[in-house]
Amino acid sequence: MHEELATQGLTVITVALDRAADAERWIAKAEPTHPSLVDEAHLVAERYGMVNVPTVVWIDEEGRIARPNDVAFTTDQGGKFAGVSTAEQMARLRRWVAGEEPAPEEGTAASAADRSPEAQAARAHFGLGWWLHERGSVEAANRQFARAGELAPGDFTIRRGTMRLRDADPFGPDFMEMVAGWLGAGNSYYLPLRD
Amino acid sequence: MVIVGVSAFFHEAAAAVLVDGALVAASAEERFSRIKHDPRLPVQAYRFCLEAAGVGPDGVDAVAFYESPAKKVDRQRWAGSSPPPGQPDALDPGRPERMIREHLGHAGPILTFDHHLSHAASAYHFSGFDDAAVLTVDGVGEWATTGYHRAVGEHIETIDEVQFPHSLGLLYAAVTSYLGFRVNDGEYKVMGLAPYGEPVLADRVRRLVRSTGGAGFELDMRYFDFVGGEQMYSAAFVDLLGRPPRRPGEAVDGFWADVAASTQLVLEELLLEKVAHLAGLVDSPNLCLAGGVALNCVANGRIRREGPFADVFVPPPAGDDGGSLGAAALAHVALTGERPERRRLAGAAFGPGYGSGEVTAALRSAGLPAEPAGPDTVADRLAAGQVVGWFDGAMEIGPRALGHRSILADPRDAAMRERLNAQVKRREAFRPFAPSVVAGAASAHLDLAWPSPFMLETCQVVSPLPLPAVTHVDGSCRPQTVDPDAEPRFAALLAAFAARTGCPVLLNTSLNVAGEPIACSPADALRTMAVAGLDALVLEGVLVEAGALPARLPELLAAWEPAPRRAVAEGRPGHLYSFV
Repeated sequence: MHEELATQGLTVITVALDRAADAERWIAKAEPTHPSLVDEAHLVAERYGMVNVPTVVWIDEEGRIARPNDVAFTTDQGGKFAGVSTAEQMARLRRWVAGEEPAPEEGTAASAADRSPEAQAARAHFGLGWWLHERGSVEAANRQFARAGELAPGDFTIRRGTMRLRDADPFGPDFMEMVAGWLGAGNSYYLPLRD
Repeated sequence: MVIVGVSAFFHEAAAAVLVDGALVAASAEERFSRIKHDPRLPVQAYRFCLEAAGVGPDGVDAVAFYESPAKKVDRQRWAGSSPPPGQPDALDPGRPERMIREHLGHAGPILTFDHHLSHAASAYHFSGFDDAAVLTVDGVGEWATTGYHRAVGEHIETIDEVQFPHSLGLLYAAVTSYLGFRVNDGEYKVMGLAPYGEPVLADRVRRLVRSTGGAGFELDMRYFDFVGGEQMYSAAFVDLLGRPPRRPGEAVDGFWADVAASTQLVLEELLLEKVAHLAGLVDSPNLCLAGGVALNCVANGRIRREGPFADVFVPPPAGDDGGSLGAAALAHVALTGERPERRRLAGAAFGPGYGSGEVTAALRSAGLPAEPAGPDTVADRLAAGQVVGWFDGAMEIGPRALGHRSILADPRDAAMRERLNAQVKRREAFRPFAPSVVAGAASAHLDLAWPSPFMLETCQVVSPLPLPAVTHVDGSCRPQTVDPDAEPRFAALLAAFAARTGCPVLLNTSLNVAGEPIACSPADALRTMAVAGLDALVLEGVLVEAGALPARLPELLAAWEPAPRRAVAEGRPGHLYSFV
C-alpha cells in the first residue's frame, strides 16, 4: 500500500510495540520501503488508544485521526481470525487516500487515549515496569507488568506485549492460555469497528 | 508515608520523593531525557523516585505540585499569553492535575503549593535550621517574583511579596537576552562576564529597576516588552543602553562586559537591601535563599559576607528543580503536622546511581580492561596534566557537579582553562571554572570562613599557590569545600592529589559539553568522554583510557543500552521518525 499510494501522498508507518532487540531482525528481513518504528515504551498505543495488535489508524495531514484504530491484517487468512475482510479494508483505504471518504470532523484530536482511571493506572504500572526492566530489576518489573494487566485485562499491548520481557512466548502456550481465559469469560479478543 | 514532589511545565522539571519525611531521591527530568532544561511532566524522574522508594504508582500517598496552576494561568492571561502551537490546553489550569493522573497514574491526593512557598520550603526544610528568614527570588511563579518568609519549626509564613511584572529574575533575563544569550540558560554567562567589565552603566540599569523601599522594587515597564510582547526588552531599553542587542556569536567586547557588570552590581545592591529589610522582619540569625536568582553565587557571597545573617543556606537545586523538594516537604507537613527530617543537606547526591558491579561487568563484556583505579592512580594522572572524567555514586540534583559527575583537572595550569573551554566544554572563552578543595585546607587558599559544599557562593582566592585555572579575572572563585565525612571518595582523591603536588585543590566542572545536561548514566559519561576528548574516565572506580575508547565506543554503549533508543529501520532517506 505504501508503494502503491505514495504518489498520492500516503505514507505507511509500521510500529512494533516491542523491544528493539526483538523487533529488529523481523524488520530487517522484511526490507520495508516505509518507515518502521519500534515503540518500546508503548507511546503510540497510549496516544491512539490501542489495546491489541495488529491494528491500523488513519491519520490525516493535519494530524487528525481520520479513522480510529481498527483491527487489520495484511492477508485474508489473518483477517478471518478477527472477522474482517482485508480486501474491503484496502479498498476503503484507497478511497480515503483518493478523497472519496469524508474528512474527520473538525476538532478531532490526534489522541484517543483511554482516560479511565484504570487505564491510566495500568499505563503507569506498565511504564514503571518498563523502567525497572531497563534498570535490570526484573522481578520488580514483572510485578508492575502483572498489576498493569490486572487493571486493564483487555489491553493486550500490555498483557501480551510484556511477554517477551517476562520470558514468556507471545506465540506460545502462555499466550494461548491467556486468550482462552479471556474468551472463556465471554469476551472478544478482537473488536473490529462496526460501521 | 511516601510523598512525591513534582515541578513541571516551565523549565527544569523534576521529581523528588520523601519517605516518612526523609529525602530519598530527587532528579531533574533532563538527566534522563537528555534534553537540557526539559520542562515536560517528569515521567522518568517520577519512575526513578518510585523505584528509589520501592513502591508502585499505587504506593504514593500524595503527589505535591510546586505551584498553583489556577493562579499561574491568571497571570499568564493577564500578561496576554496564548497557548503555543500544538498545546491548546497549555493555559488550562486543570492540565497539571490531568497530566499527573493520566501520565503518572496517580489516583490519590494531589496537593498544590504556591511557587515561592515551594522554593522557600526547598531551602528551609533542608537547612537544618530551627528557624530562619527566607528570601525567594526568581523570574516569576504565579504572580510573586520575590517572597519574604518567616520559618519556625514546621511552619513557613509568607510575610510579603513583590508581584509580576516587577521581577529581578526577569530583569536579569532581559539583560541576558540583550547580551545575545538564551534566557533561562545564559544567566550564568552574564554573571561570569561581569568581572571583565566595569559597572559604568549602573546608573542606566538603575533606571530599569528601582527600589520602592521596604520589600518593594519596580521595573520601569517602558523598557521591557515581556508583558504581551514578543521579546524581553523594548526599543527604549536598547536606546537607554546605547547599542543594538548583541547577536549570538558576535564578539564579546568591553561594552557587553560593562552591561553585565552594571546589571550584576545593581542586582547585588538590591538583594543586599532586601535581605537587610527581611532581617528587620524576622528575628532569626539564619537566612535561607532559593529561587533561580539564588543561583547567582556572586550575589550570595556578598549576602553572606556583608549581610546581617550569621548563617546562610542555599539548597543545591535552588531553581525550579528544587520546587519538587519544597512541595514534597510542604505536603509532608500538611499531611502529618510534622516537619520533615530536620537535617542540613550534606551533599546533593540524590539522583540515579549505577553499581560498580554493573559498570565492571559492562566494561568487561565490551572487552575493555576493568582495572580498579584508586585515588593514587587518578591523582597521578591529574598531576601529569590529564583531564579526567569522574563518575562516582548517585548523581547530583541541581546544576552543579560536586564530585559525582565531574570533569577534574590541575588548577595550577594556566593553559588548562583555555583547553577546557575550547576543546572539552566547547563554550565561551570567558567562562570561569570552579575549584574543589578539602574542607580543612580551604582557609589557606580561599577567603572563606565557612563551608561551601554546593558551589553557591564566590569568594576571593588567597592561596600561596598559583591557581590560574580556577581564579576568575577579578581574583574570585566559586568553591566547593569537600567534607571527608560527606564525600569520602572525592576527599580521598583531593588528598592524594595534595600528597603529590602540595595542592589540595582540583578544578571541578560538570561532566558534559555545552548544551547538554550533565551525564547521568555510564553510557552518557562515555559519550561525553568521546565528544569532549577527556584523557581518561573513572567509572565507579574503574579507569577507562581515552585511547581504548574510539573503536569500542558503539560496543560499550550497546553494553549499557541493550535497547537502543532509535528507529531501527528507515523508509525514505530524510524521513526518520522515532517515538522511542
